[in-house]
Amino acid sequence: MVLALFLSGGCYPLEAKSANWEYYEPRTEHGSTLSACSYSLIAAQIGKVDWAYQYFMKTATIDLTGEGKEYVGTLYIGGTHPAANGGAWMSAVLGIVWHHRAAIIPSPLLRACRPLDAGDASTRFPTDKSCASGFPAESLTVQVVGTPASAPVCSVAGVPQPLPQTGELRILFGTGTPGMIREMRAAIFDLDGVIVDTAKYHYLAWKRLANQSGFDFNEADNERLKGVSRVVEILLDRCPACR
Amino acid sequence: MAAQKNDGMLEYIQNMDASEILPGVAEYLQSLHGRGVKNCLGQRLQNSPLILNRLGISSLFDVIVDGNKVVQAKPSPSVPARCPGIGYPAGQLHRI
Repeated sequence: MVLALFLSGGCYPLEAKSANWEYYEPRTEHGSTLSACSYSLIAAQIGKVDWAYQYFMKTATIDLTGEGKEYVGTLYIGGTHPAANGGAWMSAVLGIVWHHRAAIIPSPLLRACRPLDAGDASTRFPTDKSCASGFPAESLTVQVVGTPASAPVCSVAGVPQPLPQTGELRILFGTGTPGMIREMRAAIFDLDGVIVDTAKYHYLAWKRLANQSGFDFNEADNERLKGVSRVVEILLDRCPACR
Repeated sequence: MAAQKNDGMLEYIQNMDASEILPGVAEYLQSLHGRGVKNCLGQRLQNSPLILNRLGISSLFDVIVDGNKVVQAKPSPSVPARCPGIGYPAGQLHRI
């Protein structure tokens, strides 16, 4: 829902985004690695810059902290997360920078951010937020050059984050259109649970087969099958004599 | 065992109809199809074409990539790579 509000952002008022973000945020497990960047992007839009930063950090460090979900049941789903890494770029540039004109300063631990000062930044922000395309039409260029001296205004969970105090700071977020799809050419759909709910039929078919073979197969067993290809092994677990 | 289960599945599928399409899906597929977006179904299970037929929405799909066409399941790039109009060289597709 929150991701959809970002993708079709021009179609909904801030109040709707705000209401949905606040409703879903405490109720969401954020199990998908794309959850953090979605929540960061909408948080930036609705003025919750601290939250935007917190979720930006989560998506930016996903492959550094090793805290991501690695297993669903016995199924390994770990590895690197290039899409979430792209989400970090979007959270920074299209979220925090775009909406708050704040720069995220890549100190060694990516800890700090502060607003851009008029003197040290040149900005050109996308202007087209039309519902029709849903995506920015113009390029985004942000360049920050200088030594950061002012106090940080960004904090994480209420704790101000320190800025690097020495050295020249130069961040160039790149030119050209932000890395988003301008025109949809193809759409890929999953079937189960997206177009139609066939899960109940899978369950009934497995249950019937199990019952015919003389053992039980309940809803808890069925949960273990979801999205899994090793169905037969799980069934055999339920029927040790079948091995 | 899997074949036996599939026989049971086919029985249920034979009784499916358009009323089982989830809300809004038919309209969305229709609108994408209408403006020239290629609709692709990426689904490992081999009954997908039959299910789409029963639901009456086969004609809205340009390509069905199912278990008959790819060996590796999602998130292998072999599914998107077979969908038309995506335009990425296979080497640039990564798992999410």
